[in-house]
Amino acid sequence: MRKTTTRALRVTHPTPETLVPFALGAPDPATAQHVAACPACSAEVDRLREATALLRTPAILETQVETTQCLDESTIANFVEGALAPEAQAPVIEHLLTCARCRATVRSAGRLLVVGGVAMEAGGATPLRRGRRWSRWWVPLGVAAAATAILVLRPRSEPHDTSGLREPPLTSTEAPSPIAPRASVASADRLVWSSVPKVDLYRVRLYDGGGSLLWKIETADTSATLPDSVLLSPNRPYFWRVEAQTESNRWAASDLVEFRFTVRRQ
Amino acid sequence: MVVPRYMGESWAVPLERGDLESAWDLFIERYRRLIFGAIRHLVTDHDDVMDVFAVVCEGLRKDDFSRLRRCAATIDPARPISTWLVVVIRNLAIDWLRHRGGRRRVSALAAALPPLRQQIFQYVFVEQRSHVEAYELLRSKGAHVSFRAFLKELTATYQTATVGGRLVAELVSPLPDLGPDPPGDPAAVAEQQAIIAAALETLPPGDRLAVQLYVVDEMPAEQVARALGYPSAKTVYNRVYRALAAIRARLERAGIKGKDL
Repeated sequence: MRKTTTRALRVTHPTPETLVPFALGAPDPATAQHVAACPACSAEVDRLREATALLRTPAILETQVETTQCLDESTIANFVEGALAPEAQAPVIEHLLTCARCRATVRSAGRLLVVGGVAMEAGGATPLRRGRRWSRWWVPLGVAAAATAILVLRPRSEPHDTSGLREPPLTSTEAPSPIAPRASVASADRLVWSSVPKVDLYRVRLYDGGGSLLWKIETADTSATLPDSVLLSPNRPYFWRVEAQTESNRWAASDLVEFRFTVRRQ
Repeated sequence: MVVPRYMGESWAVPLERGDLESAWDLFIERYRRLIFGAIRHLVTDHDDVMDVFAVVCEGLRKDDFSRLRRCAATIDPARPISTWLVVVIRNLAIDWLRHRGGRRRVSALAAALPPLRQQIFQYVFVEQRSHVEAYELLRSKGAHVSFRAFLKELTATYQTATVGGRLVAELVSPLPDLGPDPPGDPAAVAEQQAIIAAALETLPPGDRLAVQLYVVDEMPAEQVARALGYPSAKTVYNRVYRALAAIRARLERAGIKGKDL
């Protein structure tokens, strides 16, 4: 971590592992706030984005041509799963570095595995690690009970500096913030929330206006696409919240957020 | 006969003893929802969904379940087959789009486009030429369009191609976000690609692929980490950070900056 120290104030800048996803577009309000006020980090983000743009431009020269060297379905699946032995992985990496077609298959498999309807069925792709024991309680209790639980589980708000400091104390995982949808929106196909440092697992729950659980998912990402099986109606209230798993295996929950949408999902 | 090794995959037992229909019943019961979930992510029209589902079933049952047997022989038996299955679904869906009923979808998409975009669609999505190659072909056939104007038309064509699902876009590399000031000269892009490739060559292959998958192909860092055997997404971020710094330094030494493109 880079640190800048002055006599009056010690400022801790975001680490690379925070700056990189932020520079590449991941929503992160805390980092955004820090970067906006910090010339050094702002310049660093600009440099990262400039290098990213340079790297992406040659993609317009690529073609997806099948060759005899292209990887078969099992090899690609084993690579995506990280199941290849080092001696088998090396030639696969070498091929993927030169083959846009096979990389497209890898990317597509990764994308499909986190699609709501697939992830819930795949199991191993986005494992549901915890929370099953509680799920029986959440469904009948509804929104009111969920709100009560949030008060219990949500860590006490400490008046700490929110100017983008990284490396918070290990025991005070902050709650993620629901970003979209909120209030009245045109459409609501994806749920997006802020990332929380040191958190690798989020849990999202969607309720209807009567407090019934419609859908839930656990994911390492900071967004989730609603599966086609979740049928929402326009101009009706829905609620959602997102929780971040703390290092003590508890959950830091956001507030319940209400939204309505005006255009029926296709 | 290859003996399926999966523990907990009930369809493997009848497949092993040659009872194909029982194996299929158990397999499809177990994975029907996953298959439909994946297909609905790729195509949205109900008829298309059912067409692709039929193609997927046919592809899995073909040649006495040879695909499932190969899967059993080569996939780590300790892991779920869902990843392999989505790869198969994706490939069979593309096969449907290119060679079977999906071709009418492609034709319908193209027919609805203005003439210039129809040509772009033909070159990029049907003939699968690179964007730059498509531009050069257009110019050679008399189209008077600057490269920047071409990129705008290309972007609009991509947007049209995703109407009705993402499958058509699967045929081609994603269009990179070139920002408000896209490259004005395709020849310069080609020259700079060589310098960028040389800069990437200085990285270990795994890190190079991490950069490619996460930065260029925009694959989630968690999945890049899993594929490459990194402990977590944070490792991807740190490797990418170092890689971007190294690449940038090398490009600066070569006198290249982002605004030069």
